[in-house]
Amino acid sequence: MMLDVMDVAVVGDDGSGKETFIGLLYSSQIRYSNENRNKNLFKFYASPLIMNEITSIYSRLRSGEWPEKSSSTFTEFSVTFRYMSSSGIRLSKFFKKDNTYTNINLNVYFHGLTELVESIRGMTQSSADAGTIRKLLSSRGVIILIDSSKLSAGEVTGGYGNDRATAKFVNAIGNSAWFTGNAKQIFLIMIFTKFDNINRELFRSNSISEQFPLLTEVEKRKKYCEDLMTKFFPETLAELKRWYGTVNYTPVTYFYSSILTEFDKEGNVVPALKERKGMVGNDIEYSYNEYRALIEYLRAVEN
Amino acid sequence: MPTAVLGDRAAGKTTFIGLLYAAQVKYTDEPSNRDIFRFYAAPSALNIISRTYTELVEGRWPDATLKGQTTTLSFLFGYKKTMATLIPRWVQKKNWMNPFAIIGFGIYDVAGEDITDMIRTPDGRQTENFTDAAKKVLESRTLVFLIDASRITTQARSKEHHDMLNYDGTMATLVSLVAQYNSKKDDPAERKIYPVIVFTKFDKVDRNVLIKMNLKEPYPPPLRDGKRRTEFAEKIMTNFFPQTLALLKGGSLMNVSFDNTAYFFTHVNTVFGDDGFPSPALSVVPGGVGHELDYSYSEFEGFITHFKKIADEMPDEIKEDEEIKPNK
Repeated sequence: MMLDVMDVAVVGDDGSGKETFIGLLYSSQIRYSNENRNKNLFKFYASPLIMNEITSIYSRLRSGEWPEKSSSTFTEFSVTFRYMSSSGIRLSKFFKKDNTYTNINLNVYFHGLTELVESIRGMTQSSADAGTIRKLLSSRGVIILIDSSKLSAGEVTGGYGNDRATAKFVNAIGNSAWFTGNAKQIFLIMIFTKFDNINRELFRSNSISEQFPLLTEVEKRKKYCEDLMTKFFPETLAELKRWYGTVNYTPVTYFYSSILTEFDKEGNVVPALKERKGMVGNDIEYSYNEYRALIEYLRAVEN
Repeated sequence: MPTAVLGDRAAGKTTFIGLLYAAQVKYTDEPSNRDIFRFYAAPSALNIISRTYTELVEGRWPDATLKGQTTTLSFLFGYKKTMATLIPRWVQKKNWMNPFAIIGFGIYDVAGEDITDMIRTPDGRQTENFTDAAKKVLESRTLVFLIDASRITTQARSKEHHDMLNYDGTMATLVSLVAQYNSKKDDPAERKIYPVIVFTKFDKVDRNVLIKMNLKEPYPPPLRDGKRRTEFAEKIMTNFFPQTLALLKGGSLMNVSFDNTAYFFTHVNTVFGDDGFPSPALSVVPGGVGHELDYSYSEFEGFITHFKKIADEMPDEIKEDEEIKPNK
């Protein structure tokens, strides 16, 4: 069976755009896999039950509709990524063995952050969520989805964009790693979802650009994300700093997710469909480069 | 070796079977193939298949016999084993071995709801106990997906576009299920899957779509040019059925080996009948008397030959084991 599996948990509060995130991640997996199919660099697999759900999210997005809110059965799922390691690329097919590949299990938990933090605090052996939480806490990586449309400065307004809940969650992971003596490196990824839907006035008044810097602008991007955190997530930032010395946290990596929208005949905002360069037919236009970078980042972390 | 032919509603399954039957009749009658290929269907199945064939060669479309079919229509292809051709005739007469490797075909109607029913229980869990029909699909070592090329569309937000996306999702989910099911088998030889994709009604595909894809020519390269042909097919798959293409690669993560996908493009030439509707065209038999169906015989010939390659790759113990089953 598979070797060297790295677990990565994805958490997001209600309304943080988890279904859309999953749909866009799936779309990116397909694109990335098909782009590299001749080189065999990347493959992914999801169980049929999960495929049944994801394919319907994907169909809706590509038909210019938002995904339906996940059903109650869809609170947790995993997707396996397999990357060929850099040594594997140089080997001929004859020499390729299982250890020339890197496997990542992406476990997505559809739980509200606040509830999750409470569950972690009150967890006992017999807790209904104990299994899920234990799995989550032992993950090497955690991806936190942040709804950019709810970013607010000053008073915490509740929902996601909720600095305090994120800070508590970071604290819970840190505590868990410290108590269990987990010396493994833990990496955190924060993804600003719905970045196309930010409160532009708020950004302007805080002298923050409404344009997320490109992936190639490394230093500018780093500074921009630090500014975002300082303005909107001061407690989380403080919590991270507190744990850096105690737990083996890697510096947080940031991505954003956005999707081009348009008005339909009824005046509703729906995903826009555009002809993609080099492709025939219409597709959703979204921050594919960010998703692609995320897929590649997971591989880099494991390597 | 069990093979499942899977197609959505109105994907052209009945016509495909009729044409495959016509092709195998012609293929068997060719002097060079007479001793190396056999076809068999049980009387009840043969009755349906030959009726379909008759309708086609009379210039009529067959009834949608297989629409909504949950049970299988099955038939067998037999390929003479390479080894059997080397054995002296007196040894062959002893019947110590079956000289033919047998491929058993089953035809299944698969729409999205069928797959959902196949994989999940009413309370949303994954099914552990499959129906007999589902088991037959999952036990199949070769999966032949029929894709109705006439339904390829670039009209976003249309029902046809949504149906096309859904069918892509259905095929991808089925590949995922087949990988999961076969991953539990102990014998690595039994964990190998041979995918085949047949684009039916390829004459009805929108030529502008093919031209827009920057394909060098808007028709498939010949069978002998395997590399270009795969590129041609994968370009269509990447644009319109990307999920299936990705899962055919990703299924191997379940420790199941997926062979390179073989692609075929079938069509029947048509003429307008007295009623103004297109009907199957008939052409004069070259150098002979009478008429025959005007269709993409070379693609079907390639399809038949492809299964010979698969039969040759099967380990002997599997061949022997499965040779007994389909004849029942």
